[in-house]
Amino acid sequence: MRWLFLLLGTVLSWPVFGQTVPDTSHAVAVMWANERQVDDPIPQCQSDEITLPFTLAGRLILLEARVDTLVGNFILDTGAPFLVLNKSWFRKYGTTAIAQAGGITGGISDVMSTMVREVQLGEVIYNQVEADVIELNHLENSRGVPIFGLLGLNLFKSFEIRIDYDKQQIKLFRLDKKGKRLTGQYPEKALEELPFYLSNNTLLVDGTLVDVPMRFCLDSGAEVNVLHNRLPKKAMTGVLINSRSILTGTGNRRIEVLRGTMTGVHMHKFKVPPMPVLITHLGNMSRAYNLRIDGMLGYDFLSIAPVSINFVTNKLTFWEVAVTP
Amino acid sequence: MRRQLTIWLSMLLGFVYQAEAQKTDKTVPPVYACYAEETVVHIPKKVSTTELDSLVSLFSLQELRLTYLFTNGQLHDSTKQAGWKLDQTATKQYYKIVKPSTAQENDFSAWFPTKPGEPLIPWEDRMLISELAGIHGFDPTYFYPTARYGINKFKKASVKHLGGNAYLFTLQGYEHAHEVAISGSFNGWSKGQHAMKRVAGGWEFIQTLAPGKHLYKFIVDGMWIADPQNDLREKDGYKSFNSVFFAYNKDFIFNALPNANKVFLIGSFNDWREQELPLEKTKEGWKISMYLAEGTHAYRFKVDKKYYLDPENRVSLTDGEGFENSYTSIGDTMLFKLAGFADAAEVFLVGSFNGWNEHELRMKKSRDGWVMPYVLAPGVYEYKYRIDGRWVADPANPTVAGEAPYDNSVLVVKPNHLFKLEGFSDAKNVLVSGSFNNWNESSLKLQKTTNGWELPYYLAPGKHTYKFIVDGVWQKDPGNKLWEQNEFDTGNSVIWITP
Repeated sequence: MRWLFLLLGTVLSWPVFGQTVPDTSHAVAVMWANERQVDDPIPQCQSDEITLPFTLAGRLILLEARVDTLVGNFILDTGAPFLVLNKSWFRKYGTTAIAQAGGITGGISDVMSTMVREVQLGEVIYNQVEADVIELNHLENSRGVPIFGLLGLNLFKSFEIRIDYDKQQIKLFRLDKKGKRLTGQYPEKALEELPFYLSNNTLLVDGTLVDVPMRFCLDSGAEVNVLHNRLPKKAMTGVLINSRSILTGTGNRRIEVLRGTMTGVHMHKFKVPPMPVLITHLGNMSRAYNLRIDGMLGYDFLSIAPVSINFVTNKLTFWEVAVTP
Repeated sequence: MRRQLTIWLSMLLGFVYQAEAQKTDKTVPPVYACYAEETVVHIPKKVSTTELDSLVSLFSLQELRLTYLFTNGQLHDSTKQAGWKLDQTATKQYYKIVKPSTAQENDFSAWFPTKPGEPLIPWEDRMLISELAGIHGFDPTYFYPTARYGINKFKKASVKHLGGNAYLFTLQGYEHAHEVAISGSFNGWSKGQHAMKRVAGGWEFIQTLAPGKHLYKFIVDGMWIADPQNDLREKDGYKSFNSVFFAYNKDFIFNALPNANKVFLIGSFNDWREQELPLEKTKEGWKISMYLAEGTHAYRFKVDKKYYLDPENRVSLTDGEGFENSYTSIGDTMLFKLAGFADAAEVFLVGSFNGWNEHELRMKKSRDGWVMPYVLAPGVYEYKYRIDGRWVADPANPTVAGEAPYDNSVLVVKPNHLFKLEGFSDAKNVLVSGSFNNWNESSLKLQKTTNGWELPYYLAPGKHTYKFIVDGVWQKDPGNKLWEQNEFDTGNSVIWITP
């Protein structure tokens, strides 16, 4: 039955002529989102503006957080829907296996879920936070520092989160109902403002690549931009490919990776500067939550200028870099 | 139903893409392009062998067997079998080789499931991709800085030695700040846990430091700043700088010529650079305080263009170029002792610490054997004695790596971790194997104690994974709760060593 809905949704939403990228329907995504619902944790804090310094491990943002009694490095990962804990460090936590019935492969997932009593990030405290517990040892081994987990998107959904790579600093602004900062202060000039939307706590932005409609996922956990390798020819004319490699990935899968530079990306009125990009088969990605995603924009996009993500107005804003005296 | 849908989708995708493909044409085609419906490779027909080789390597095109194509004008059978076709409609300038996408590649159901909470691309794949993009995830120099020597350079001393290992870090000003913290290599670059204390005129923090190089920054209300009083800075790997502080462990004093104009210290540690390390004038003569790495160092003083040995150090040797140098050692002297072998003509100490040089460290005959004092930095070393040309493992050292006759004695200098396995009193043989010895299965034997097995060992700072092998059976360390999954689903124990 589910497949019937998917088929109907897909066909109905598909523009008959003139469009090159098949656009799966949002209705389908909503249906699938019901499979796994995690309540957004409610933050408690006194200040209207919270500053969190971070360090970089490669191009990953390492923030310091406390999960119950354990304090350490967590990666800010807007590509993760919610809090994810590294199983090595949180093995003692009581976990429930999540049977992901009816996944596309029909398999049952072995992801474990747990409930954390308290999470503290700077002065922000969350109580009763649902988290997944997975093995993150590859990540930890590659970065050479203990990594306790990933701070996913739903921890920040009542804030405007401002990421400044140059200053290695995150700012969290509390917002009123209309999405205005409670501080009332906007000292910087907005360079660009883009609408985004969320699907299953995945941050999505629409744009075009050489006039071909594209849907990008914004992911601070992506150290490089990645494009799906099954894009139409017209879109691919915007990518200059410099090299190609074959990697061996998870479970000895062969991964073909092309390296190149992507030009001609537009997002609404914003002409995105040329960015390095890798092109590979986004197996997981392009069918994530049954929403077609054509690429993932990470560090190179989010570090164009200090950037704010406002989850009330659903606007992404690049700010003019303040000149320090 | 699922299969039908897949075919449907594939057909529709192919149709839409095909229409689009016909619209676009480029005069200079990309060498390699991967589209929804096909993969296309364009190889210029006029290309030198070197250029062709470089194209093959850059784009991993070995499968295409291009040399065969250039010689025979057609694809090799194995290339055809892999699904490649030579497109005869291509231009005169280029070979166009095409491989249609398989239905599976455009098949939604063949793709991998996303587990909730898991990133859309598995982290393992991400790490591979990052590596390919040249992003180095971990720079050990940032967390565990090392140096052969170092001297500080302050405008005004903002770090003061309080005695012992204690140092006072101060930040002047910033009185209106709410919170100031110190972050550095010595606290794992913590981001707020090490709050500085507000004092009149600024902020301060007492930190214990081992001799050596340390990197740090201050965090003022969430804003990173390098120490404004410290002129010694290093790039922080991004767009800013870290302050550098050396905790000293060595004074050099030269009081023989108090009226000299200039005195410099030169040595093996600074590659004999002559104008780099000036001594400061004191009441009695001249002095320089510095950090010097553990090990043995040769040095001299350069006093007004003339070279002098250290008059306060009797240890001097002549180097191969005829210069006589003073020698100093930092760290503990290990005394290698070999009992017996009184009839031997010559005995050499040979080990990983001297690059297994068989003729360098000649041992001295003692009353009951042979001795050799040697200074070694903390670490794990392997060694053997060479007695009249015969290799002998140290009979007095029970810790060995490998099996005879390829057994080396293992010396652990300043161990910082004790591998300990309680119980197993009936076991005959307990070994430890891990990332630190490349998972060698026969190298590190634990010694039996009254209630179990143990081995003191030196582990470099960072993460290590390991397992015990008890009479040939691998097992995690039951005394260590921290472990991670491995590719065999049996788990490895994990230790993090902080400096």
